[in-house]
Amino acid sequence: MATIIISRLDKIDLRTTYEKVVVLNSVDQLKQGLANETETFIVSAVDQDTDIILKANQDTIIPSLFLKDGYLDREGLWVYFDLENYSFFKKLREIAAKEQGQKGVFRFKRVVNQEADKSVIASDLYVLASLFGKPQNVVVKHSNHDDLPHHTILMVNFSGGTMAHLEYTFSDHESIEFDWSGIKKIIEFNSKEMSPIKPNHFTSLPLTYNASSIIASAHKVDQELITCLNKYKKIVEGGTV
Amino acid sequence: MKIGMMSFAHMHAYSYANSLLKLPGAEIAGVFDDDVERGEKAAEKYNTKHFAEQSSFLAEEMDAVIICSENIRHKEMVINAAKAKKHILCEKPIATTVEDAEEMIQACEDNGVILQIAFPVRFSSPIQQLKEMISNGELGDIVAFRTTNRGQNPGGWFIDKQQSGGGAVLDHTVHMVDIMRWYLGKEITEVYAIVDSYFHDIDIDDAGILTLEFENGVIATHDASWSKFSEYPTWGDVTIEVIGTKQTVKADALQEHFRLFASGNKSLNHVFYGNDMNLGLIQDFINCVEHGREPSITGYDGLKAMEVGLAAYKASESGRAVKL
Repeated sequence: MATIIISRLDKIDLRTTYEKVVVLNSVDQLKQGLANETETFIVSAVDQDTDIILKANQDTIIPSLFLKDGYLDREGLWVYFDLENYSFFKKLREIAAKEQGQKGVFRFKRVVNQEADKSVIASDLYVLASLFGKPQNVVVKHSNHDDLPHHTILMVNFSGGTMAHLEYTFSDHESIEFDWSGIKKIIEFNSKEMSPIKPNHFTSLPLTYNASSIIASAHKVDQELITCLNKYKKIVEGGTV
Repeated sequence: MKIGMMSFAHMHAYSYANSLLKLPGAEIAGVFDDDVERGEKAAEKYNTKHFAEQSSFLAEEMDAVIICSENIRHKEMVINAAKAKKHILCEKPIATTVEDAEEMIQACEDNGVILQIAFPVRFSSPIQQLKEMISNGELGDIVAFRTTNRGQNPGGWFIDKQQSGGGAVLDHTVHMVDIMRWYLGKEITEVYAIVDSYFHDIDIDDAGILTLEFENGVIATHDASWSKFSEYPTWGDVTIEVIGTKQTVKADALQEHFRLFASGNKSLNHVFYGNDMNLGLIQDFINCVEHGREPSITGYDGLKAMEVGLAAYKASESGRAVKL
């Protein structure tokens, strides 16, 4: 059986992808490619293409943003969360794991190059909950609807002892920055500052990941996952929880 | 112009006194401090006279006073100085309750003296440049703010609620609330917050995050803490990011530095070379007294900033929004 990964191609770092993968620019190319069913395909596709790809009945890994309730019974369907595939985030997870039970303040800001989408925030909440514990109290504020860019603030008290501000600006470019302050330990990251090639526009690093990571971190789509993401989407929509 | 210093309890007193020495025409007329040892040392350092009694100090001929006492004593000293017809620069926060602040403002009005609140961040060059950009329309309409003011635990009376009125949240919220109000020209109407003691084994808050909404729907976050430790490369930060409809711009009042690496416990130091905002504040206050003009930062500005800090405590305790 083939493995199909749906992703924006500019997000995939092929230099650090150790699996043999075939990169396809469109869903149309996938039909021909599937003649060899043992390969791993990375397909550039939009949300609407997912149904077509699923009809191929192969193991399929889709971005969390593409997940719909109707996909629950699909065999061989997995999702990945982009945040947990970034290399810097994996390092953060390693360090945070050693601090478990310690109180701290986490500030996270993400500029997203798309229109406002609660799925982006819900997906990050899912990933951050795996790091800091369940979100217990959440306050959500959205900027005025008439103003662009849209900006959303979440103030979260995580069960593991971390208080956090998560902020999203839906704009025309991408960046992630965060800092975590604990007892005599501070972690700071800003993707714009950490670009290893200057000027920054020559590389997508550090906001890239590889196919190996996507395969390794993929989550099986089940009722628990869908319920959890739906709950987080409602939090983002609904304001205070 | 003769300026008297009232109390050196707050460490900013030294920096304000040093600023006075740099300004032509300004003279330190005397030091009042009822901590006699501290007062005498300060008077010696600044080559002036020490007074252990407030009444005898205020009877001296001087144009204005700078008050840098424990927060809880601001009210007493401001009212006494106002009655003695001295113009006043008062360290932030203006007071520890809204009622006290109102009384102080009224006393100054009744006695015809200037009350300015010490928010030196307004005199940071990058903070001023961002203000000009906003005023020139370069950011478009403001959508949101993102601010921080995080530093080290000052210890001493700051961590005694009876004397300070509050911990890191009161201490480090007022500066950036003042800047946001200044940039936007609108008031904050809703405050959510989580306030806790995280970083030190103390009986007062040292961490807090605030989520704010202004009367026109602009939203904001603020991180106020004493989270920095002595080995961190710098004292802390004072930052504001303004998300506008045309562009997002961030200003960092302490960003202008070079990195100094050395062996030892603190291998990296940020050596600040930016403008001296305390000097800017003192220069502005003297100019204000000299020309008898409205202070650039009024008692009301101090009250509104303090009100948000106090609201954060209430919001955190209740788990609900506090409406202002």
